[in-house]
Amino acid sequence: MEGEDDTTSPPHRVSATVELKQPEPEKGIDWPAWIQAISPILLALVGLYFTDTVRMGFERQQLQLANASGMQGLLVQLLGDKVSQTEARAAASTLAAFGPPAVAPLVTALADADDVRTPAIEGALRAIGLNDPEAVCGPLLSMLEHQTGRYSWLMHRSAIRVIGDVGCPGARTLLQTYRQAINGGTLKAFDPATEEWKALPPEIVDLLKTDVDRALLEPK
Amino acid sequence: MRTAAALLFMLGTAASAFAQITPCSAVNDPSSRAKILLDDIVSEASLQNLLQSLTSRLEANLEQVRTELGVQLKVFPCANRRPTGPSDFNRTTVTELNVRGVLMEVWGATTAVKDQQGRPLNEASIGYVIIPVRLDELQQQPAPGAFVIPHRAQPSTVVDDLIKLVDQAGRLGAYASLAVGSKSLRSSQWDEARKQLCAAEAQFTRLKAATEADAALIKYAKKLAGDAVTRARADAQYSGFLKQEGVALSCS
Repeated sequence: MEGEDDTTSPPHRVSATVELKQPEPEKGIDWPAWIQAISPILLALVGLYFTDTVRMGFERQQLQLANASGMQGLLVQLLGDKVSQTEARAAASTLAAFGPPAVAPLVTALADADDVRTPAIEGALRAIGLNDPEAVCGPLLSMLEHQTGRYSWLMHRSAIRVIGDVGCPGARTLLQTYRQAINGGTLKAFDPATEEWKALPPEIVDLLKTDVDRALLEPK
Repeated sequence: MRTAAALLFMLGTAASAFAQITPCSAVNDPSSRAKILLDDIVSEASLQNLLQSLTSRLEANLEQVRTELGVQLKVFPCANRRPTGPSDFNRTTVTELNVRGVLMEVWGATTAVKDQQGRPLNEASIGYVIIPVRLDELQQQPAPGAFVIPHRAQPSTVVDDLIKLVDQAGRLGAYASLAVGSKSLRSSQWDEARKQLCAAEAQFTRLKAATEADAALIKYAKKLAGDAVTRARADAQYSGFLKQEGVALSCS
């Protein structure tokens, strides 16, 4: 071959530039830079969250305190010795405007309620229950479920009436059990004078039965 | 919310000055299921301190009813309770009184007036509500369960005169018997109902100055006494003397 033999020919000079290319680094997220960039924002958000939570908790407490203060005067009026029927109704209706926080004091007030206060309290519980059944049904169903000396048959009667009017979900089974207790004669009332459980007189049994039957007729 | 509540409260209390039925602790007294409430006798003169005496005397007057009819009636004073009239006893109030064993409520007002000759007189209006009868009245029964009987007497505030006003010619006993009889009928206690209703009829007949309301109540007592027999005969669980064929519907 020609080229192989020509060993004496002058060498060729090749003029070239060799560029040494380094491998390109992988394009990804620059976390440190990002973290550095968003950390003030994160900090601000976390701060805002905690501030808001604390503020809401504080406001809730303030609202509870305001509710308690607002309800106090109304309860004093409702439970007063000289409250008239109209005043009792007005005080109870205004208590109902406080919504679920008024349920506990209203239910407690039923314990000493008479012919003047009972209709007013039942009306207030009914009003709250129409907007928020859960708030009213829970305590009233619990009253029927747990028979203790603290709840008189008159309280039971009020509870049954309101439960029926509000249409408490899940009340049917409890009311049916209650009716069975009435029919079976096992329903008893605590007599504070003798501290004994006594069978209810037939007249009272009839009254409770009428109210339970009416409550069971209400559409659920 | 508080502003709304306050507004609601103000609206509600605007008419409160007219309502006068106030709580009476005796209503919830568990010791008796046959109560008679004696409200304030409103008078120009101060009768507050006489209410207790009047209560005791009325209790004594009802002793005869208690012994003859075997009903443990108890009279309770209710100071500051002043119904304005029969219309105060609406269905809700009457139902609440009924479930608490109140049979009757009596209230009254006396005012000093002068007759045509200028002589001073006491014009008294005594109101009665017979709870079980009022319940029936509110459910279409025509007999009046709540009414006011006007009365004129010489001016006095002594207990004896007030008793004469409240228990005019012994009508309190007749009302009490009627109330117990009507209530017993509601609880299917036929014998007791018949006994009390016939006693009420007899007491009404003995009244010298029977009012229009009394005449209607005699009819009512007669009808209920007949109902007691009819319903007793229809009651399969009952086996008392009212099932005997010889028992007439009427009391006499």
